[in-house]
Amino acid sequence: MNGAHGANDSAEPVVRLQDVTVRYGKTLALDGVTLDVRPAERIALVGDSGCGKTTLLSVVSGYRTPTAGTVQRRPGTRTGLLLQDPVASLNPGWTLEQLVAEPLRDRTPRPDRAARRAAVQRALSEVRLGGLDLSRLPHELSVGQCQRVALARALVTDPTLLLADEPTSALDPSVAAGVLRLLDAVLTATGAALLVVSHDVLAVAPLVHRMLVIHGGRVVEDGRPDDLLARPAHATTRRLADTAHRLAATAPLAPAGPAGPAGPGQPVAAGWPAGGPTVAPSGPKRST
Amino acid sequence: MRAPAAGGAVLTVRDLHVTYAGGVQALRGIDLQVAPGETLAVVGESGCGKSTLATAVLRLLPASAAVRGSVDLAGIDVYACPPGAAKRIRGQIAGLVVQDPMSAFNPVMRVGEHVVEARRLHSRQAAGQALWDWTVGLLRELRIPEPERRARQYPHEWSGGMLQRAAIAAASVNRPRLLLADEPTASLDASLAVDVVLGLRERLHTQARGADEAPAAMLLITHQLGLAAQVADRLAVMYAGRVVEVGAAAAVIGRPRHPYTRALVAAMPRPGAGLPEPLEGELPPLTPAPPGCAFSARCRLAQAACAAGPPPPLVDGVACPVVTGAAA
Repeated sequence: MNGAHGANDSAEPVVRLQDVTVRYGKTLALDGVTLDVRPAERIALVGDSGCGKTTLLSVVSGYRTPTAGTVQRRPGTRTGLLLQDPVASLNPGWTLEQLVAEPLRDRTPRPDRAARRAAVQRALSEVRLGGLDLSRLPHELSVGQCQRVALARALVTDPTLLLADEPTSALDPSVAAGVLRLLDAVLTATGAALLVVSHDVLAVAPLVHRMLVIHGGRVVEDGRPDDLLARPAHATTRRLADTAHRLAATAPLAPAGPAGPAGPGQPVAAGWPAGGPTVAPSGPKRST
Repeated sequence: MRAPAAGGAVLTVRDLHVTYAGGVQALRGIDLQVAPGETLAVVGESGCGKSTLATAVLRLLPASAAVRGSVDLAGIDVYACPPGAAKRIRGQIAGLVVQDPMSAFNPVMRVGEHVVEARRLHSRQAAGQALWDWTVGLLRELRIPEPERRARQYPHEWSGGMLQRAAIAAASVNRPRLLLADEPTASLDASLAVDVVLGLRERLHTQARGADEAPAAMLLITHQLGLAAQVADRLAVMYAGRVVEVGAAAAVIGRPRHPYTRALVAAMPRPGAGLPEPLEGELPPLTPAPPGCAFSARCRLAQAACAAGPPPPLVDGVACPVVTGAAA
């Protein structure tokens, strides 16, 4: 049965977080977060800087151990990680082949050279960089190509869960649009689940089935992106939705249409029609 | 040295060319005017030359860069005046807000001291309690909570959004005629970004020195079209060192005409529109710039003649003979 968020509710979750709390000294970064990520489910974690969304991602990745609570990964779960700054996240002295092959070092048994090269070539063709010379260095690539290399690195282990931290916020919108489309295509093709952190609600909304609004280390709202943005309940969601509407309000709905309403803070008159990801979710679900 | 400003504009840029030492033709004939009280947003992809434009207006380019053309700032010819006069322009006639507030502040100086210093550099007001009180008042105006306590803190104790407001305070402290804001919100959350830029604009409009004085103008450099549309009166779209479209912000975003502007608008995320349309291809190398229209290699409307001859001039606000019907 397809569940509330476009994923199979009866399937065992890829990752299950129960009552996860993280403290940094006196600061409570996460305050009792419970979350199931189902196979093929795409979830965005949104909120202001410092709300705890990146901490939540680092707990799921296994990079950070929670102060309290449990994190269960389904056996065989492989994670891939995509970071914000494509240029900073790639070692400038490594070739394209070394960069993309690096995550394979932890695989047991470790694949041999031929298998590594085949995996690198498969990952690069998935991000449409198949024709690129494997001996190239990051500075010889454009920023958009660097982010696709970073995505190939995340895909080379054939992940069942892709973790992305602000994957488009360092990019020009024209380049970001390409990365979002590529992510959508890759997730559709591989069936991997996605957990993406972003403060840019407009950018990630069409990519995900479900959006979790984080404030003060807690999930304050949980639902379909179009529902949350059309009918936000929590103050944080209202502010995020208001910004999204303001930043989009002057954009025309049709390429050659008339100028949209231009006044600051003016809401979009029409509702928030479902655009959404390839796997259409159904029915909203709010946490209480 | 001081001449009447062209047509009353605060900033007039005429046929500005900038070539860096490595041969990169970063600006290739820019013509722009900014009127008092007006906010002009310059938009375009990374590498299009928009930051070079901001740097050139303030005469802050490296000495090795070759500059041709003119910049007139409130009646002063920026490139004809002596270097000392150009220094006075910065901070007094034009203020600058940069992208990363954290790196714009000296980490071992208190936040309030930065604002005091900016004020003292261009006024004869001596440092003292009066100037400190004035600074605290300014931070209060910018809605910094507990300004007395906060002004004594160091930059690392402030959030990025608060620090950017302090940077705005420091840049506008001498009531400049023009404020240059180069990606002022790139390091901020989206919701904060709109508030910061709207706050900046409001401040420029409310701080006019008297009833007879026009409000200050703003040149906003950004790659965020949505933000530009929110705060700008006019938009100039730059591509490969040239302005390819200019006009009222609502018209440029609502009815984009140049194929490049259309592609930028299509790449804007919009509610309910699904995933935005990417713009394929990349900026051409500018060492030297290609002949004809630099966008022609990525353009869906390109004709054979587009990639030859001099770059197309702006006609009726758009530099595309195919769109304006001037193509043979």
